[in-house]
Amino acid sequence: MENLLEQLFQQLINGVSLGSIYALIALGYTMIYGIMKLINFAHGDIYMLGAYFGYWAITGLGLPFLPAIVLAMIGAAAVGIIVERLAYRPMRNAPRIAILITAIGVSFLLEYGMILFVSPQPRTFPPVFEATVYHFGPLVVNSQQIIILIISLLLMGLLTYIVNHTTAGKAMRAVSFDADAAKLMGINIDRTIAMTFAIGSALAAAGGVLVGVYYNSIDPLMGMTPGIKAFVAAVLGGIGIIPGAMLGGIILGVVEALVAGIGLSTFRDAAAFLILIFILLYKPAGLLGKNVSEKV
Amino acid sequence: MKSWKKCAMMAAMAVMMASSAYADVKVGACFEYTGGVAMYGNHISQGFELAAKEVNAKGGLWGSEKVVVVKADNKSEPGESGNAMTKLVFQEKVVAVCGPATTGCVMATAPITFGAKVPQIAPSATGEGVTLQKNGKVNPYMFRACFIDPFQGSVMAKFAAENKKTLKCAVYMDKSSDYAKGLAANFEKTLKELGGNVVANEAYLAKDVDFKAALTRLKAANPEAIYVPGYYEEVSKIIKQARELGITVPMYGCDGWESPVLAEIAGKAALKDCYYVSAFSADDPDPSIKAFMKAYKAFKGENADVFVQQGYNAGKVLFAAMEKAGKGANSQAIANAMAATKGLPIAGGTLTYDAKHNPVMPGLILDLSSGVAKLVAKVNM
Amino acid sequence: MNVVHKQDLKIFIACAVLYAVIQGLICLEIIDPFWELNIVMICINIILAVSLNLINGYTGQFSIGHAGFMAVGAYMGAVVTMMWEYPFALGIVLATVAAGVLGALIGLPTLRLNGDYLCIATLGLGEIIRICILNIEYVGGASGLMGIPRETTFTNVFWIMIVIVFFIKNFKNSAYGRCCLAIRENEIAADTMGINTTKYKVMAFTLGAAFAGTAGCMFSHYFFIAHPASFTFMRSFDVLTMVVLGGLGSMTGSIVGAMLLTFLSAALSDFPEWRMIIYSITMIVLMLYRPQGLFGNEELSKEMFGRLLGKGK
Repeated sequence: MENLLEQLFQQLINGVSLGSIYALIALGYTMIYGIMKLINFAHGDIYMLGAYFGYWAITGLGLPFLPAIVLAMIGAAAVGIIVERLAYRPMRNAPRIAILITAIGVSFLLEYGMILFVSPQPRTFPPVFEATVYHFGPLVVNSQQIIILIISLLLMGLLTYIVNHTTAGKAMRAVSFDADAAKLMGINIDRTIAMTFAIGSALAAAGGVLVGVYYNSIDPLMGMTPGIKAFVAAVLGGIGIIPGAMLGGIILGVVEALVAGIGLSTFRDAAAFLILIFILLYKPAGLLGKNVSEKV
Repeated sequence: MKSWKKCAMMAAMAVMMASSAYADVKVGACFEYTGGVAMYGNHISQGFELAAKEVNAKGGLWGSEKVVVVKADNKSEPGESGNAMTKLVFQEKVVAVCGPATTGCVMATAPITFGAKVPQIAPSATGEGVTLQKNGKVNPYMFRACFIDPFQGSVMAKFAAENKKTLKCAVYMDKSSDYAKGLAANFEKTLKELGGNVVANEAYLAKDVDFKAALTRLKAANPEAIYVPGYYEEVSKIIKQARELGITVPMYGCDGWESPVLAEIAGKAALKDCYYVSAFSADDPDPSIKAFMKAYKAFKGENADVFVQQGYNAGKVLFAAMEKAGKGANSQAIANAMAATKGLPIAGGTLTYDAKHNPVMPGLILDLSSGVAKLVAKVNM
Repeated sequence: MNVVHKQDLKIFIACAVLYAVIQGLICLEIIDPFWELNIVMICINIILAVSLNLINGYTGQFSIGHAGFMAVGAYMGAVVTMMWEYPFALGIVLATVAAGVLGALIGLPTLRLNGDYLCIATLGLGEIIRICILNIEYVGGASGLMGIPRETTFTNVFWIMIVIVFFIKNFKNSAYGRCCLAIRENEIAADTMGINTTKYKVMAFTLGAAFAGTAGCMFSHYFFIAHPASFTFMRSFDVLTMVVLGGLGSMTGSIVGAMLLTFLSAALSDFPEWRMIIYSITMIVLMLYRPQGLFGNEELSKEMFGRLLGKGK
């Protein structure tokens, strides 16, 4: 019995740490969906690019961790803006399906472009800070897991602040609420959307670098599955709602850990999608969905 | 109207067909150049191309004809493998083919090469059934350049039971790969024969990155060692995460572990008591390996891994057989020459085929404790 | 389904001629096995594309889980012919039925969703089907089902394709089909007009899924193998691209889209590193400059050629 409880708590820790990674990616997803109603399939690949930028900054330029992550965020933000400008902006009035296909196309382009340039071989991420392992009785936590959780919480807080308490955030909320009316009110929609993309992509890049450090390895297809999972997380928490992305990510991580914990590891992706479908059917607005006024 | 379009298409197809003709010897390379396991496919293919390049540098086959490697991508999909192989065999009219990498894809192409009587060498398909026909007889046109699953799994079990005295093992396998499943089954079988047993079974899927949940379960089962058949991309993370969770027991593996990347990702400290079976060791003192490593470094600028070696050896076997069969030999003669391969020098030793077209070689047990693989035992079954 | 129109008869005869020509070329070995394979693949892809077009194009329900139904058909057919050792024809029928039943079961709850939500839900369902198959050892699990007899020939795949294409064409022109079109145009309006929207959405979804099952069965009996890796999201996406390339809601569009993409994929197989890149750029550019696809939702017709030629002058 005690053994089972120990396992349960350890699985919860595993789940929260996995979930905080999903949350990091889901934050950007949720922002972009909130403002453009676009499932940005390429988001997972921006996360991958961010990881590579961080890798190059550390190994190529010899930067320490913090400047490297900032550089990666700037790089990814630039890519995000370019992608938005070239692929999404011309499509703003096109049918939804066309935009979605473009998004998938951009995603493949980034993935296979990177395979062409850096080979599909995984790279070892340099160990920028050592993982210290803490033991709480039989439970094991490592410092990287804690750092990832804290950073995602911080970023969530920062994002909530930007959206709710700055002029730019106000513009975002306005565009999200009614783009045409916002335009009439003198809001530069193009700039607001570009900024959303920049912020979302920068967040994804931060996630990519942290994951690179955590798992020690990056590859061009690393963004595929987490990208879709992060979308699930965003929908779970209520798409467009920033704390929802965090909550959704963590719940998803915990559920996956528990599914694996009862011996069904190979079913855990199926579990993630099943949750998604149930949420969509029974509470399409997501867990935190009622609070419409907070939508970005 | 529809037929009009289709006719235009057919015309286009006919033009494409007519435009491929070489005077040299064409061999096919049907690999996973894109898709899920693109990395293995690319590495094996590069090894194969290196072998072809070496033949050409010496003046080609039969002293005159250059080897041309025609590539076809199977997108890591069995269905597409059939497509790619059909193209190589019937359109490019290659005399022999190398690939694909994974057992599933090879099985999907076997009926095509068998039907067309084109010799095929699968560098890394370890599934036992690869070289056999459906009725259990040997497929006369299919060869391989690697261990078979039963052999490798048994070697590890023998090492576990006899050298390490760990009889209570857990198995954590890559369920998305036939290779890992075959190894796990044979590891368990041999371990039981030697008086041990498997106390816990867990599985993961290729491309997973977080293994802590399943590892937590394995830890609770309290095994004396964990057998992790799979490929290094995932295994390196498994070892790292297992040690982070405080699992200190030995970990055993297979030749899919062979890559310098494994040690980099897992970290040196985590590799204490990690062993795997291989036919290849990058720092093997054998001069043939030294020469091969150097040649590959010059060719692609990076260090070779086991996949490159398998592709290279496949090329060695194939080209030697073609040379022996003589200029203009038909596929039957080439296949016969391949089957008769005996004591052929390859990277890492010599190669002899048994009656089932499987190479006979000892399993090397390598110890990773120091961060680089060190040979600790040679096991014959 | 309906009276045979004169127009239909003409097309039918054209098909028969086309069949005779291709079959003749195959027999004379002017078309080598590689292109024969690709012609078979084109037929299979046409079945997939027109069946997805029925769901996405005619009914306006955005599904991207087609590979899942294809997988069900592929495995079901293989189990019937290989394990139970029944004839291939029964395999096709059962594969179609199995995929259709699953489509209905899945469609009933999920078709309440719309737009992006439906799209992501079907994507998830496709993956769930694949993961479940991956975990069923009876059908080979991750190793796939090997040693399936090659029963699919150009002849049977061609005629099955023709039957399905005609079926869907007639379905579209029937009362049911018009209800589906009404739903696509405006679901709420259709509802207020007294159309049972759920019924028709599920009907279209079921039919589409069933034909995807047929295609899957033909697929696995041509390539000797049914493997989970053949039915990933990439396959769904391929089919979707065919439909969108040709133009959502255009049957001839789907057919041309399927032919073009299959051909492109075969032609690009010599440049494996570039294939996916060219593929994705093509798609983005197409969406940027012609988001409605090649034909929009019109059918390829004499008038269209007339217009194109007129423009040319």
